[in-house]
Amino acid sequence: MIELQNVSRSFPGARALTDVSVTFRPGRVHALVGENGAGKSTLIKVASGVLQPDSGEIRVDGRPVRLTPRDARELQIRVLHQERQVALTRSVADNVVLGEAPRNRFGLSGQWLVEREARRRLQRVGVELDVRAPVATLSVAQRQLLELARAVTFEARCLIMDEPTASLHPEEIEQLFEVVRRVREHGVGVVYISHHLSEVIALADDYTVLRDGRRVGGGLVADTTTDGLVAQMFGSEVSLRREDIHGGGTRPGDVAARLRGVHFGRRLKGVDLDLRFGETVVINGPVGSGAAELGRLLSGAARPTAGVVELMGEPGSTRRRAAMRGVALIPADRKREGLLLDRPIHENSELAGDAAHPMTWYSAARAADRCRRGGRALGLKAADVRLPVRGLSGGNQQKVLIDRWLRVDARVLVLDEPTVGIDIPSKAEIYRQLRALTRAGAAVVVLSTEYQEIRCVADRVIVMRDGVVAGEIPGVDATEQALFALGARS
Amino acid sequence: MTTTDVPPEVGAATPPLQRRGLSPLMREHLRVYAPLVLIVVALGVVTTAYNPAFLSGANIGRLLAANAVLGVLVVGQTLLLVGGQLDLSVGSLVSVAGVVTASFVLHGLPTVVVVAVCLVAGALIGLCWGLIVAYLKVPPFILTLGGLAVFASLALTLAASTPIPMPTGMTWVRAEVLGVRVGVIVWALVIVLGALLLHFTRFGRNVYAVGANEEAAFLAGVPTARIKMALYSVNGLLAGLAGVMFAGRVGAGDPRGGVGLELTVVAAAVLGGASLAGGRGSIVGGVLGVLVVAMVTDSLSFLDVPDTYNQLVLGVILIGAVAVTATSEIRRIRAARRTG
Ligand SMILES: Nc1ncnc2c1ncn2[C@@H]1O[C@H](COP(=O)(O)OP(=O)(O)OP(=O)(O)O)[C@@H](O)[C@H]1O
Ligand SMILES: [Mg+2]
Repeated sequence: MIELQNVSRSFPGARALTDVSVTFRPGRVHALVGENGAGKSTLIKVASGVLQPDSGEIRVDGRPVRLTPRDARELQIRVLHQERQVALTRSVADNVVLGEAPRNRFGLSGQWLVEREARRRLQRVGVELDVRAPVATLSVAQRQLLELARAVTFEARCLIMDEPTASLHPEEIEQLFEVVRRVREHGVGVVYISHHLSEVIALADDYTVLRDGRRVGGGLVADTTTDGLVAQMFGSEVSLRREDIHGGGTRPGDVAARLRGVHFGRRLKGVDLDLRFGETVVINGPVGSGAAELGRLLSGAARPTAGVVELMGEPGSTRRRAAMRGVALIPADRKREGLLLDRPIHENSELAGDAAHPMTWYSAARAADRCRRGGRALGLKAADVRLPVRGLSGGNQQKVLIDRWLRVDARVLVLDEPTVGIDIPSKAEIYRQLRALTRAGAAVVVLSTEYQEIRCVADRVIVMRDGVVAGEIPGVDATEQALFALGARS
Repeated sequence: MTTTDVPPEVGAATPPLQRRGLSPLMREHLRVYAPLVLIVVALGVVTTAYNPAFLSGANIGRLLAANAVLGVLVVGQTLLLVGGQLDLSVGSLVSVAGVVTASFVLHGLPTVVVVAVCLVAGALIGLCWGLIVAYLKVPPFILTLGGLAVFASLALTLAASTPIPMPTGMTWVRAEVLGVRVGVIVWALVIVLGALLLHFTRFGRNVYAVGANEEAAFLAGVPTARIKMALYSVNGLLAGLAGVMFAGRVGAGDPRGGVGLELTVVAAAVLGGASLAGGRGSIVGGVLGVLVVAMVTDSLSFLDVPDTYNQLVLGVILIGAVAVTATSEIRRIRAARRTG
């Protein structure tokens, strides 16, 4: 049992936790919910010794402790962090057993032992990965599953998961639920952070709501509903239903992007696709289906190995040329492919604009001003837009990326899982922005595996399977069942 | 539903998104500058106490003139380092440009032509580096280390291994306008232009972006290859200019004139806060780095320390400065890792 008592923690410019008390019990799943920047990640970092509280106390089984990450590991407190923590150049096996490589009776660790242990752990959570593959070749979702395999043991006292489903496909999420239920049966206490309240309702026993670093609610999940949680989290009602967000559309106009017989290595096998201005197309498909590759081709970030990709009537655009003509790209891996972590927030949100007009004067003060205005519209939570973007909470970093392209007149937007880790009101806001852009004539492509998101924004849904288009459904008919049936059929 | 573009009410109050006062980036810069200014002032005080002639206008003018070549090169190198690049060939380029200058002057070519040839040739060589780095993906360290060797040998070959004297050529570098040497004025101009480029144009932001995260910059539409080529070209041009200035200052084309200069250049830039990992640094910092180097060399000679100790003291200061920034860097990264 882990208890936090009256814990507070500040950062320069931000008070992340104020006087929070919470208890994580063995054999129960405890959900931690709250808006972006509410302090959830900070709380679990305190509970796992990564951060020291400024004041307050941590008790493990009733004894007060001062935790370091190493103590936490010895106390069998395991953490799956929000941000991926993998050694990119090492193999899957090395990463799975990172920091606790198995040793033989001579105290030595061999490649064979490591691989066997890694396979065992991957199997335990039902994940199939080649243990010899370098992690750099894995998708974001696969890396997440890898870290799940690393974190899960049945002997754990506590298993903490910070947004573990953020980039997973529904089937993988189901698998993860299975794992969570199994470890709970072994008496492990699970702490579960998620912005998906349906997951919380389905999985958790207890919940705690954080807002602006304070505990504003909590209790038994059985005693509450999704709406109840939303009210406690945001102090108001927010709807994520198609009727309230989609708002219809215009008639699709000219062709924005045309794909003919496109191959990409062995990932795409002959895809034909038309994307028109004034429509939002969702491309749905699990890892390996080719959906992610389509996103890169559509934005000019990759070239097809065969076939033609025409962007606004022009074949073979480079990424630079595409960006200049207003093709936005929001990659799934925001830390490696999206953000300049050590540069100020305003530079990050102006990067596309700066790239488009390098031969113009620049004023840091004015850039910061613009950023503050754009940030307010998206509900960005930051102490100061001139601080490095690294200090923002995960969801707020994502908002900066979206803001970057809303700032330039993007006419074609390619968004790879745009609302990963984003709270409900901001999601609603982003969906509305996307719909407004669509109505104003932009062509929007969203790569998404989240049914609710698909329902909210899609005019058409294209389902990918094994590198080919498995089928297409109009947005209105894109129910979970319909999509699942199309994607799973083989 | 009607279109509602009202922002959602997240949290209770709208966040201010900015505090009063200096920007955090500016504060970081000041943290880098403060110890440098301190070193310069301390050395100045100590040396003047020992020998009051140190603080005379004539000596300061001489000090600046003697370091104008270094100063010009550091501006170029700072631009490169901020963009995550590096050029070690500048020392050899200075030698080659010096030798070319002297022999052209001896052949009776007009000054303007000589200067133009050196600048253009330097820029073209830089452009080559840029092309090779951007498209063939050769690591800048290896490429320009090779360039260093090639041009060192070229300078020796061109000059038949002996300095080419040109007592009457390029005297403008030594001339004075309103009591300031023209070489120093050129340096000042280069500083101003470099600072404008890096800090007051969006091109400069692209340079920081490429140095900070090239992949992210590329995906956002930054023309990363062109930025690199531009940086190397500008640096090559400045190296050509520095070569002319060097020849003019010493009145000869010395084929060994630039030997080892690249190390001093990188040291001064790094002292000034530029990071070899890219994405960090400023022109003002680079200038302060040059001043520290200049003060150290000069005050040592005023203090009657044999100049064989110059490199030793500089090395110690460099290690000290980098160790200080590195430890604070490590602390910062640890903190960042802890907080995600
Ligand atoms: N290293 C840091 N430096 C400065 N501020 C920080 C740092 N880490 C977190 N914060 C601030 O602390 C607050 C809480 O952040 P935290 O990451 O705990 O939020 P969160 O609830 O996990 O949000 P999300 O749902 O977006 O992940 C935020 O205002 C954030 O800006
Ligand atoms: Mg978080």
